[in-house]
Amino acid sequence: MSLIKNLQLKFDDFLLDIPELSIPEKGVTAFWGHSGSGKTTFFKSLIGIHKPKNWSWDFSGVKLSDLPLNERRLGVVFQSFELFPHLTAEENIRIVAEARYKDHYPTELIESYKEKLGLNKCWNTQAQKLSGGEKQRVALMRALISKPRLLLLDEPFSALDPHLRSEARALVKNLIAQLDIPVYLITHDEADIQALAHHVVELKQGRVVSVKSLNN
Amino acid sequence: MKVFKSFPQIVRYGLLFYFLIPYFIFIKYFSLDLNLDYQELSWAFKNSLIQSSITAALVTLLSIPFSLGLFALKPTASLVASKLLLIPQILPTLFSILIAFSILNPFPMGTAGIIFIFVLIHLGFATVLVHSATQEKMSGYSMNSEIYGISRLQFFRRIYFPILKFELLATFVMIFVFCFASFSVPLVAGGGRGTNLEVLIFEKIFIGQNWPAAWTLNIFQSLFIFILSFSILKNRQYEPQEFFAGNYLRSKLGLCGIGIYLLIYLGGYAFGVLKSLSGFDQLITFSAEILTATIRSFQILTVYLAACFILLYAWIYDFVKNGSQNISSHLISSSTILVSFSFYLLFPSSNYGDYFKITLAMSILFFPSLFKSFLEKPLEKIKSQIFTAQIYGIDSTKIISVIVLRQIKRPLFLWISFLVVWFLSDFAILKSLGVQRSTIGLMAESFLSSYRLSLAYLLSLYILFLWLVTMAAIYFVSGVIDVINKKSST
Repeated sequence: MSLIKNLQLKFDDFLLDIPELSIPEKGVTAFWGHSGSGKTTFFKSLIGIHKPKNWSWDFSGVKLSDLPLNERRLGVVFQSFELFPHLTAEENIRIVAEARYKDHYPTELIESYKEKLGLNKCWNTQAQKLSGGEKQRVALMRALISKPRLLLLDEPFSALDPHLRSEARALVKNLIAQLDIPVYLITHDEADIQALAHHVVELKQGRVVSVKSLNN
Repeated sequence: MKVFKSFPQIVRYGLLFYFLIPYFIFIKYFSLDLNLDYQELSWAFKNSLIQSSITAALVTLLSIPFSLGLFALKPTASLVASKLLLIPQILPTLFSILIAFSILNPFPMGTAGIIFIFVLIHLGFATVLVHSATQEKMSGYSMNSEIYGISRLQFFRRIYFPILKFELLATFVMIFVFCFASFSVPLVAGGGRGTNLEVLIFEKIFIGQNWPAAWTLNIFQSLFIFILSFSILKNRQYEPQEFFAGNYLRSKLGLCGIGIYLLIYLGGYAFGVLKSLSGFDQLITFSAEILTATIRSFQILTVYLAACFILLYAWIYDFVKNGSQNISSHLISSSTILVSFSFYLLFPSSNYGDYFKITLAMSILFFPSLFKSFLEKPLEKIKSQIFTAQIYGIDSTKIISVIVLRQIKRPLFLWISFLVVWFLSDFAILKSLGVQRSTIGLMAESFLSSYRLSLAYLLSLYILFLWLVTMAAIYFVSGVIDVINKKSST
């Protein structure tokens, strides 16, 4: 189990206060809550945007809270995807692959993901010209190629048109099942939980109110 | 003793140290002198205050209808007009002084004349600032007000001014700060009656040889400006919203105002140049000196640009590593006299000495303000991409070269073009540095001071020509570098 301790952050009139939280290290754990529940603040603390004092985050025996950003090896898909807009889909992947695979560029792995995620058509298109669905798949591939110990998805389907979301959920579900990477999914959408989550951590007003396992 | 934890910290504090070098030089050489002539100080301070605050108030007030004039144009025309409005700010002071002297003849030397020149220089820039702030913050409020039957007066009183009050104040303060620390305009147009604090400091140094007094005055001025800049001109982040101008934000009268302003400035300059063409034969007699000055200008420009690029790289590295702008970005209006005189003391009057002191002085004086004007916002916009790249372990060199520099090409080109044109036409800094050998800017100033306006005009046209040629060369070279980079990455 991954263990988070003493995660406390105060902003104006909001307090994120998680004294202790155990999270499974397998499957998909959804962090669910309405707007203002603290899930975004929680997410930003895990990826390092916020820097809480005196907290700890142990994951598979590694104290991630003590590691610098680039050594935490987190695969992150932001709500806004945060692709490098002036680079093509291929260049967005390449720049991360070159950073993570210093000695051997993973050509075969990239080709395999490219097929699975259906990125052949838009491979040489600049990121700023991609559709929402294409951006999401490129962002996901970039996260997967980065050798993550953990995948963090922040409202990954909210930027997509409603009719594309089911398709996107199915794709992500298949991929996660094949690759067996633990996932933290930040969402306010119950449909995401129904489709993907094995465990749910409910947040409300900056605190954890429940931790449940689902039959998914 | 471990003062710095890491190389990024060394870079961060190293940059701050670099921009504060003139202060350290003064601290080393002089002590503060609190036995000042306070009557003289308060007179100069009063003049600085009057000149700066009247200019800032006039410019801020006029920028409101002028910015509404920009909304009366179609988007493409508005973009072109915005670029034209920046010309008085882009072009060095020399040009504005020439135009002012040509428009008002006899020119009212003193406070009135100084204010006239300041307004001429800064009005277009303030208009663009207010226009940009309106687009960022006003969203669809104007249209909604019309739909709901709110009158125009009520819209401005209850929606426009309350929402934009900070931005209007920031515009006022920015113009105030630029004028407060101005040296070249009061020097040329002050006529002895309009002495401001900066000119007083200059007189203390070069006429009165009272360096401790100059140093004390400067500390006072620098602190005043720094506090204003730090407290008011902070970079504020906005959530981008879709903007609809609506009828309340469009003004044909404002558009006429823009037309008159551009006619006065650009038309005034063009008229001045045309009138001066008859002096071309006289200019030819100076061709040998002009050629020597041109070569000298370009030799020093090369060193100066190289130094600016090193500073820029360090600054961006600091931003990437530390996640925020260097505090030196608030040193936007350092005293020309303090900076120049400190290097005048430090470096001998020699050919090589000139290279060092000009490069140091100009980079310290120009870099923070130009960075703030052109590069600060574009960098802030891609902060989240930089963060994402760091999560994925991409190293800083690659983040800077592939992610940052490639996305800020256009503002970078503008930044370089300002560096070049300000350098080529500068005279105030060079005079204060005690530079002996002539440059193009110094030649133009010598014509101006001796009332040979036609020669000054023609030389200013020559400066524009040199500027265009330099920028074309830089554009070409950067294009070649781009092609080589693309080919080597495929």
